[in-house]
Amino acid sequence: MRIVAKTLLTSLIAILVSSSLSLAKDVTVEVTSIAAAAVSAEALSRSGGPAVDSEIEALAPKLQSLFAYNSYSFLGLVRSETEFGGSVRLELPEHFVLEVRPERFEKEGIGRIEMMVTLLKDIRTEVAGAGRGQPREEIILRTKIRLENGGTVLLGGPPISGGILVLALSARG
Amino acid sequence: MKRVCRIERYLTAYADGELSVRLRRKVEKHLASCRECARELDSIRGFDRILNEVPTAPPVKDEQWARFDRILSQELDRVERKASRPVRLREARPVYGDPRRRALAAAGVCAVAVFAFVAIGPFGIMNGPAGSSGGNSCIVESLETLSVGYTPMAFTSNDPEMTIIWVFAEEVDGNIRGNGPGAM
Repeated sequence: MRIVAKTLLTSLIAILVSSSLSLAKDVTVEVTSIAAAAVSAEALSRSGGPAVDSEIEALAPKLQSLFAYNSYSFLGLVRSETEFGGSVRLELPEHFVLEVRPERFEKEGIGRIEMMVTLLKDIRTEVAGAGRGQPREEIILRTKIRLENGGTVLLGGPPISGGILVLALSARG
Repeated sequence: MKRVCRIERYLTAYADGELSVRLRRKVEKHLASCRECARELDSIRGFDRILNEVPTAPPVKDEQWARFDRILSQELDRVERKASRPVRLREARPVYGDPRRRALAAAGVCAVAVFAFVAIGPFGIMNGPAGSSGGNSCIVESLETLSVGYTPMAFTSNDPEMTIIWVFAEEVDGNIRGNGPGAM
């Protein structure tokens, strides 16, 4: 009787564990780079352009209700695919780099992608006597997140020439 | 050593009015002469009173249950992730043999359920797992910077539902980080 009970229990645990383990799956990562800025009304009327670029119109309502900036300029969109356990390196404007490493897919619930996200700044330091720069990267942010499959998280804050850098990071597995 | 009366096993049923007339009279006769069983009966009745005083929860809307499920799922996820060591469980012993133990076990389950409902239920006092700063779309597990002059923080907005990870740039040597002379 005990053997039967043990066997049943082991099977149950095996089923539970296997169902919660991530499956090998490709992930598409997309990053929209935006320059957010607070500009005067005069400057806005002089430029005659919209405060939000057309490429990021879908994001505009969220950005406008979340931040106090009144100008959002689209800087670029990069998309790449990788697999769980792999990593993708996305080159962003002004020598920023976003490294995304999806680690596992949580099937239970709404479905989440657990990933390590690193924001780097490619800087060059002058080497004495060399007369030219040496490539060097500075880790500005490293975060581990569990993002809803197909969801978006906003990363931002570093100052850039056009204001403040805001990144809309989405991932779909 | 405590003397065990044969009548003791009927006390819970007696308190609930479930005994036959003949058995009820037998118990009553025994109670008149046994102080141990009389005390036991008082204890059972006191326990019943406490259970009856538990207030009935108001009707719960679907969206409130959905929110409860969501928070519970997040909390379970967090607890599951924290459990890094295997725990050897003590051998379970059946509790359903003794009516009093059964009542105690049921009361324990009720108490836990009521506490969970009060704590994280639809009218709950806890809004979410304390260790994470994510909303529904994103849960932030860890956050750090390896550069001087930056302070990362995570925020969650409910409307619109969005998690924001913000790196605050500080002034270093009179220059805002990122626009300083070291940057390209």
